[in-house]
Amino acid sequence: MRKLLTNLERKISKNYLRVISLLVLLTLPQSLVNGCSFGPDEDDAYVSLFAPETSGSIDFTPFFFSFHELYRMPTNYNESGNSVFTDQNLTEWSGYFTSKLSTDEIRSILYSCTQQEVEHDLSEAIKGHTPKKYLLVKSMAVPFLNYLWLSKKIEEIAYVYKYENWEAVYKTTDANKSSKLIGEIKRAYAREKNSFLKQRYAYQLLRTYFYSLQFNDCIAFYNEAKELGTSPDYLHYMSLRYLNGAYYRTKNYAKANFTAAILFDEFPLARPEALRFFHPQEESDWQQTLTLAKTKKEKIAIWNLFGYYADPLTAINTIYSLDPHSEYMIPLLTRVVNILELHHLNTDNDLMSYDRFKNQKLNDASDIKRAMILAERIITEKQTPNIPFWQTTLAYLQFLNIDYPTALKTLHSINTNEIRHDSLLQGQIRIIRVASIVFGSPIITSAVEEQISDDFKWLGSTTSFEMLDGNIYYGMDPEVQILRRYHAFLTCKKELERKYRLQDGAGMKAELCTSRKCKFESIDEIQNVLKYFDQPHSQFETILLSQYPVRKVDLIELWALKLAYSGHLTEARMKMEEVKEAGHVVLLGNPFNSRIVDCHDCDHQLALKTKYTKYMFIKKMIEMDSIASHNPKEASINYMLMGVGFYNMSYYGNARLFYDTKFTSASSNYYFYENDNEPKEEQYYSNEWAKQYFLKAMNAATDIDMKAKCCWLLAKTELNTYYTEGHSDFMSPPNSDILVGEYFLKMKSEYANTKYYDEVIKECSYFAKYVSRR
Amino acid sequence: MKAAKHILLLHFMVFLIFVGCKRSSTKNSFYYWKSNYSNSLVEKRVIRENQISTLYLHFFDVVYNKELSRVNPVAIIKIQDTLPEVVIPVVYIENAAFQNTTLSDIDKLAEHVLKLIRLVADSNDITINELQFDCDWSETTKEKYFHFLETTRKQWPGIKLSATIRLHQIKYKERTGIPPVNSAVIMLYNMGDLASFVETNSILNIEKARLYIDYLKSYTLPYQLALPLFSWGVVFRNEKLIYLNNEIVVDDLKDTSSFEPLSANRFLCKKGYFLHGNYLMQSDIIRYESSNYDNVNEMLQLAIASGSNQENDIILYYLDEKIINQFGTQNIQKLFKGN
Repeated sequence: MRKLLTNLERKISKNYLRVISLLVLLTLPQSLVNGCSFGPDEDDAYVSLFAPETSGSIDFTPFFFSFHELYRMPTNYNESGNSVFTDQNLTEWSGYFTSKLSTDEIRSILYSCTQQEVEHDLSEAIKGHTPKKYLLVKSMAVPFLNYLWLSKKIEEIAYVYKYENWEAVYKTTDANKSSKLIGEIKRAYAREKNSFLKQRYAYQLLRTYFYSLQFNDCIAFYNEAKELGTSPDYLHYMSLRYLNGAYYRTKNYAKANFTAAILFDEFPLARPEALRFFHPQEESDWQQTLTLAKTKKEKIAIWNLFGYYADPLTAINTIYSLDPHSEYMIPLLTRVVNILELHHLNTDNDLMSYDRFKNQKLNDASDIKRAMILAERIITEKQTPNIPFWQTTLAYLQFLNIDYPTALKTLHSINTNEIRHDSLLQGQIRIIRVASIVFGSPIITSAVEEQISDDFKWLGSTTSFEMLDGNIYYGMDPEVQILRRYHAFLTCKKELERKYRLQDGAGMKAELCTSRKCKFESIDEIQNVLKYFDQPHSQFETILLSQYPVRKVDLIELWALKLAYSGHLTEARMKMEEVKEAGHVVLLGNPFNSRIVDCHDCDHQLALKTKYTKYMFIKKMIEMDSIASHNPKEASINYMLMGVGFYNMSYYGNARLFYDTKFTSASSNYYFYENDNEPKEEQYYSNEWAKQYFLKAMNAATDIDMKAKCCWLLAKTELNTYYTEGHSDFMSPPNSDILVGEYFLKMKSEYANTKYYDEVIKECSYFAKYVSRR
Repeated sequence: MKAAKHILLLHFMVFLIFVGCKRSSTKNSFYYWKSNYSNSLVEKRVIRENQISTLYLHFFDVVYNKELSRVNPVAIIKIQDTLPEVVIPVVYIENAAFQNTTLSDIDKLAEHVLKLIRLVADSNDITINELQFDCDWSETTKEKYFHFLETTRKQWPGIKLSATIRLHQIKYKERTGIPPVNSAVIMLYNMGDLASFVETNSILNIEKARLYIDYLKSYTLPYQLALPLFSWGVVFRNEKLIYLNNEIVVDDLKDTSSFEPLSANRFLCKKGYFLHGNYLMQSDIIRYESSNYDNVNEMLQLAIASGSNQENDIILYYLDEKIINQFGTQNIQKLFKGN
């Protein structure tokens, strides 16, 4: 199902969307906060509110239309990858062998045996040595093998011009060989008494004509062989396929298309390909196809395919006048709607957005008006099954036509008793109703909120959810998926947000509905939301809040982090203590560990005695600060460890997880690969606090090796700063020179005689290279 | 005043170039783009009268098949007529084919493509000295396409390679790169905005061409010019492009019971109508786009004046009786001779 939904989703240029959202942002009135939310992935937000599945025409699912193409490309293959025709053929052969051979045995004989094997088996059987696999059907072996041998021979004469997997299968027919084979099959056909085999000989003869390019003979034989066109069985429709091909190859398009329509009408299995066979070339051949239809059923069959191929609205009108009960009308109606959406909702770079309709001026001749007139007529005349679906569709068309009051009136007129067992259609009605109210209310008053609150709660109560990466994950409830309820929820929220932003005092509610992905940049913004959380809320606000992904704990933690990154560790700890759950995530390595050359994975793999949560980490830092300031002997080591702590909680450290929250992701691998349009959170990349503490440690150190170590740590922060400050080629620093900063020089000039220096030379080849060059 | 003098001088120089561009090359040729090579009498006459000895023959397309999730050849040429002396196979590679092939699989793709070219050539007694690839590559596929070309050269030592180049690829060559081939064919067509409802002729839009053509001078590959000899109907519904129909000719649209002319090349469809394999709905608008002697020649002169090429052989895209009749055999001769 997820696959199906993916087919529905529009692939649109994200950059384009970014531009659009930027424009939207620029034109919005100043909101209370620049808060954040976790709205839809843009691709998903533009999925239609109209689900063809709610029509109940399940057999026609492959012929529903998504924005670009038919649902799942209809193919002739079933889910296990076998041709649907093969299955049918096997069933019929199984009947012939009175179930004495298994389907797998028959499959192997028919589809896997080579011509040589068949020839060998046949000669053995004739001699009375029935091959083992035919022992159970001994009396049938010779006639069957004779048949199989002849049908395999067709492959020898077939004209083939195709390339598969880059291999050419290319041969022309040999007229002598094919006429000889035709003669042989004709004789076998004439003398065969068994009706099953006789019909199959007729079919093989038809194929032989086709593959030896004798299309006129193929058509003539189909018309004379009564075995091929009598019963609605496998061979009848396989023959119709060849007949269609022969007509097409002889440019008799009128008859080719007529045959395709019959194929679609009579053989549900063949529908996907029958649809593909139908392609009128010129008006004249189309008119001729129409004259070929003698019965009402045939006429409807033709108009049905015309509906898929050319114009579904005209097709429904015509079919309705022929038979108002036809099952073909509703699938075509869903197609009308989806094509209208395609033409009217998708503009420019194909944004599927309902606000776009506001700028559409539609006149009476427009397709949407014509569709509404047709639906109104059918509803009024009440001759057609599933009137509630027609009414629902009409309401959706009225919704598209921005006539919300009429859409609501139409929905209201539906006889709910008739659909009491149809939960899908009920859901569809509910979606269109809530959308009509949301889109149709000029301002969202408390009365409107009250009116939609139950529906809104229902829309949002799905097991679908959105991950931080923007992908939407769908729950398992098929009803929710078919109705695309989550998308309806997002669409309505988007419209609510738009309206709230224009309303005085509704800024916070707009935030709760927003689909923008923003960051809380200032503590004021965080405070505004926290204040709002504590206020009394209306019922509707409570619903919005329950669907708002941000919780108090998230904001408190973010606040604490902001304090920590600005060096206010005690305040950060106190902030975290305000809420029980804050700061409980366990960091991946020891945040006080440092190496000459960083290796986060190595740090993360080390077994740890103490595992630090975010909160414990801050607490430990405060403890170290206190020790350092009270005990000069311990100052150097504790300042250094604090520096390491600050270093590790930055982007460059092993505890990057520290800043991973609902609002900021620490999973981005490269600073420069972040979205350029989003402000960079400089604080997470800064090594300034680390530097300050390394300097303090260096000053307090008495031991030269300790000083050397601090110098090296400072060199590391220096290099990181170089990267952060926008040298985008940092992945490959210029070969011509090694980046040399203040602390590389200092290392070399002041600490070359230390033990630590030797270790650095051993471990860091970059530094060793620098040293050797000088 | 000084500036005015310069402009006068410039005009005079341009005039000289125009006067002096009579071409006597015999390397003029056609593209053949249909998948069945079988020439009509008119096509044969045009080949004979213009002493065409070289044909750029479209062998096949390489496309990405979404349904099967694989790259495969389609529209493979069937040759059912006598070919001119020199045949240069042209293979069109859809950009999506590269988008859906990893860099490490490019060698394999090249191997397949070359094998198929050889197969088609061998079964039709075609000797190959040059191969041409046609691909509207993008920045994201540049690396793969260029690698494909390099691999081709490795796999077929000694082969002369050429590639088609679109005007934007000349202007933005720093970004799109210059393919590693021996020579280029500059496509002087399809320069307008096909999908725009207000476009008048996307096949040849001289104004648009002017924005790009100056960059021709600095293009580093030797090149030939390819000019359009085709027409099509561009069908719009609700002012949106619905499809293109190559088969539509202007005479089709003269039936006033079905079409109402809105301007010289715009027609309103008055009723639902099947035309050459496509369906036109009531209110659809067909923009008939074509190349004629005047606009093609103007384009050619502009390209000659702006370019650096001395040879100026041209290739007409493409050989087809229907268009030849519309364009006029005399006009084709005039173009080839540079008159």
